[in-house]
Amino acid sequence: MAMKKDGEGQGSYVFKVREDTRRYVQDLLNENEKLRRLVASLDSEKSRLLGEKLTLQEKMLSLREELDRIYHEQSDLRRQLAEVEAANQHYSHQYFSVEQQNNNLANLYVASYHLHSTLDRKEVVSAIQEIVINLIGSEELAIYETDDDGAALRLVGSFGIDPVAYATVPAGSGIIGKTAVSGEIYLPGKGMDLARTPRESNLTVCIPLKLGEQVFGVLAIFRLLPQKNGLEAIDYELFNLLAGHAATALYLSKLHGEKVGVGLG
Amino acid sequence: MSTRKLLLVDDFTTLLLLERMVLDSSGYQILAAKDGEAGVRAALAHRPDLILLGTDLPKMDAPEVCRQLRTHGTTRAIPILLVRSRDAQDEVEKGLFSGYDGVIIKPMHPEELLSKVRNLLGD
Repeated sequence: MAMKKDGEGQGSYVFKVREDTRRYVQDLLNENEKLRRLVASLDSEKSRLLGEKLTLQEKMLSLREELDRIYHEQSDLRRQLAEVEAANQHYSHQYFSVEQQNNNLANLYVASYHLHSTLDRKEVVSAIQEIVINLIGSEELAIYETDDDGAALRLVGSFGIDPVAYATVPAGSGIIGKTAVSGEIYLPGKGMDLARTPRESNLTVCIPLKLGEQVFGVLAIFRLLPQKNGLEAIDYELFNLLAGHAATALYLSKLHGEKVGVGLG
Repeated sequence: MSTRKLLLVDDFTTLLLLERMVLDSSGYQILAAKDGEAGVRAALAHRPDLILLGTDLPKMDAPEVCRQLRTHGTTRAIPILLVRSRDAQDEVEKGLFSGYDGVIIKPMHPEELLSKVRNLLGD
């Protein structure tokens, strides 16, 4: 009986071990199945991520191409902008230049119109004075005519100077007299450093009044107005205009005066 | 184009010609007077939008023209631009205190004239 009991005990033990082993193997199998599923899931995830990586690489490539294209467009736009700015600047300069020319023409037109708007001698002299005062900018001037024999210059109009002190100038004497002989406009600092007489110390410009090549008189302009910083391009144009047109206007007014019997001077 | 009325008062024909040419071509309507008395009469009769006033005027000098214009209700507020030879600061300031609204110094530059007129009129 005791052996049977032992045999029964051994059988029970073996059965228990076998059951435990079976459960253990089953657990292992279950665990293995889980791991297999996990591996399959990871494989799937890996494939998905690889796919996404490829897509991102393609997108990056595409974006880089787009960036290059935009960069080129930007360069083109910058170049075009520079061209437009250059053209704008060019037109701006042209506009300024045209406006300046218009202004100069306005001055010249007014000077010419005023000189030739009358045959009255006093008005012609007054017109010359006004042009010098208002358009050139000097309130010290002397207008001379040559005597009939050409030996001297006689003052026919003045402003801002003592007319007695400047009444006559012998031809060839000082800058005023030399201008009458040379027929050239005297401008300081233009290689024309002629000797000045004391009364010419403030002389700025000396303009021969010419009828063709014949000098009919001289316009002497002394100090410029204090606010005027030197001569400008329009001033030289006005000097040239006065050289021809003032002489013509004075000459015609003289002829007219003689014709109608008006006293000269 | 502006239809504003400007009164030019000066006894210098050259200046009147130049001012008229520049301002007329810019669309302003121009009136002119050659002495101070005529200038005051024209201002009272036509009530211009701006007056360009020369100095050393015959019959009535510029300060008196200015004073008379400032005493009349109809001309009191009209801007006056003085056209003069000298730019001595004290004289200019005295002028401004006497009722001038601006000064143009000779020699006359058309672009400066137009610019100052436009500024005063807000054009």
